[in-house]
Parts: sequence; C-alpha cells; structure tokens
Amino acid sequence: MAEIEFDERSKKLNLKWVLFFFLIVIIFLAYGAFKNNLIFTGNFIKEEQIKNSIKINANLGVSEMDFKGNYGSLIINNPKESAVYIGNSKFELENNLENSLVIENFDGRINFDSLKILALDGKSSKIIINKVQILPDSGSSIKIRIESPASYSSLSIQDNFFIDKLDYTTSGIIELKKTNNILTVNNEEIVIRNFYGNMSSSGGKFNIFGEVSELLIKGNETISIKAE
Amino acid sequence: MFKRSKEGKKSKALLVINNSRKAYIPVYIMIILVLSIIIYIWNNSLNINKYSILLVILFFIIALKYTEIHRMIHRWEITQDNFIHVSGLINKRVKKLDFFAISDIEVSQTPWQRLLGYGNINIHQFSEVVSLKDINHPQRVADLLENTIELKREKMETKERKDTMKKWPK
Repeated sequence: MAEIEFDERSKKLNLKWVLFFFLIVIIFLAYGAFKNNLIFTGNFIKEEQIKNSIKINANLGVSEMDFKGNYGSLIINNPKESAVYIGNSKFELENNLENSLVIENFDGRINFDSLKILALDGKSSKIIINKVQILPDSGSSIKIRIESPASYSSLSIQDNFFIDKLDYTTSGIIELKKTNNILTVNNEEIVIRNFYGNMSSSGGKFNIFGEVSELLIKGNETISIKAE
Repeated sequence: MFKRSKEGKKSKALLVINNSRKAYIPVYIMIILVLSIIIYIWNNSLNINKYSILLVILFFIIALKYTEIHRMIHRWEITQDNFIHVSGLINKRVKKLDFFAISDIEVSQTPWQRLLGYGNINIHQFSEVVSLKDINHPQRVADLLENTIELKREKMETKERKDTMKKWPK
C-alpha cells in the first residue's frame, strides 16, 4: 500500500538531524569555552611545576604575545590612545595624562606587542584606574575591556602568571639559577614550558622571572635544559 | 492547533488545521539549552570562537525551518466537499482529496503524543494512505471529518433519490 505524507518534513529535515546538529553546536561551544581549562589543570600543574623546576630570569625581545588565564594582578603604566570599559562605564585614556591601570585578580585575555595592548578582555575583583578604585556593584567580579589598541609604557603581570608553552624567535639574555649559566640568545627560537612567576614588558623588552620545567633553545646547536 | 474558520469566508472551510507546536517541544528545548549556554559563557567572560557563532546561527536557522517555517507552509482544510492540503508560502500547492475516495480514517498516537494531546491521522484512500502528522486533538478532527463525509454522502443520496423520483413516470 502506497503511503503519501502531506508532511514531508520527515524525509527532508528529520528530528535526528536537528539533534545531531545540536550536539555538534554544544560540543563546539563547550570546547571553545573550556579548552584552556583542559590544557591548564590549574593549581595541580603549578604545584607540580614548583616542586620540579629551574629558576629563570630572562630578558628577551617582545613579539606579539597572547595570554589567557587567571592572574594575581595586571599593572599597566601609561595606557593611552584608547578607552577602557569597566562594567557599563567608559573611561577615556587621555593622551596628556600619566594614566595607570591596575587590575587585580584578572581573569581573561591580554594580547600585546612591544608598543600596544592589542586586546584586553576579562573580569576582575578590583580595578584601580588613575588611583580611583572601582569595585563590582554586585557579585564578585566586574568586566573590563579596552575599546581599541592602546599604547603603553610598561605592563606587568604579578603573581600567578602561568604559561604552559611559549615558543618564539627572539634575542636576549637568559639567566638560569640551576646551572648558574647565562645564555645569550641571538635571533634564535626558544621554547619555554610550564613557566610560573612574574612577567613584564617595557621598552621593547620582555622579562620573565620565575620557574620553568623546560627550556629549549634552537639555534646553530640545540640546547635543552629540563628540571630533574 | 486547529481553529474554526470564520463564517462568510470564500474558502468555506469548516476547519483549518496546522501542525501542533507540541511536536516541536524537543527542538524548543534544544534552542533554550543553546541560549542558556551562550548566556553562561557571556556572563563568565569565556571564549566563543567564530566557528561556534556560525554554527549557533546555522542551528537557529535549521531549528526555525524545522518548527515555525514548517508550520507556516503546511495547512489542512476540511470543507463541505473535500479535504485540502495547502503547502508553500510563495509558491502555493493545493492538493484536494475527494470525500468519496476516502475509505477509512485511522488515528494513531504514541504515549508521548497521548500525554500532550496530539497525534497522527491516516486517511485511507483505496490503495493509498494519506498521513497528517502531529495535529492537535486528532480524534476530534477525525470525528469531524467522518461526520462531514457522512453528511455529504447523505446529501448525495437524497439528491440522487430526488432525481430518480423526478424521472419516474407519473
């Protein structure tokens, strides 16, 4: 017996397909939102790394850096040529003023190069802009972002700064406490794994001071130093 | 969902039937879940990449096509003479089913459909079965359809009888 369906939906767009597509959307959203949490396993990695690490103090060149995480405090000196949104308020970063921005317990993303902060987006428990303290109206955090790339004279992240991997070509000096060695890098590729400590960027120099689990310098000859 | 047609309308439809929104409940739940996740991500300043945004937009389009647009482009009408299926928004397609061609009407409901009060009607037409899926109160619709067919047949029989009486020599 032939069957005619006036409703042809089942042939073209089945509920199973909608469900399948829904699952793909959920997977993509969850992966995008939590992928960093999947890579960093939070305090576990940091604790493990402190136990088994090499002390490092490096002064290197700055390429475009992009960090995302939860940091103790982010201090930006003299940000200019932009505006900063804190909660629903907009603060112009006047060019003729010595601006300062301190973001405590910053949880978000910062993208910068030697001259400009290209992106800053996240939330914080306390923000001090030009010595004026701003606290969340309700809840435990307040959103912060910059309107457009802002120039700066120096920026630093203190406490709780963690990078799982930093890989770029640069020049500079790396001082290692383990071997009491000072390594000079001249336009060579460096790979730093599991760094935990403080970082600063000022005058085209990128300084990291803390501990690493592994350092690799790929130049004419490859130098590999690992924590025991 | 079905509504009675207004009197005096040109179509003379006794009943206009659309798909029940209850059939789309799983899709509505999916839409609410996706929206909730987006609000959660937004509130917690988590990352949404551009591919996810594109997928979400595509999902909403598909969901809209599956639910509201589908509902808009399919309509059934019971008139005094036949049963009509109207489909399409811009290009309209009208398919008529003559009452005299209908041999049997069957109502089927899954437990979920029974719980929510909607179901399917299968109209048997000699060697074919025409299915109306996911309509509200299928039993009431089937009863109305049967009564209308019955009425139509009675009218036809009366008319035939009168015609025969007229032809009968006095």
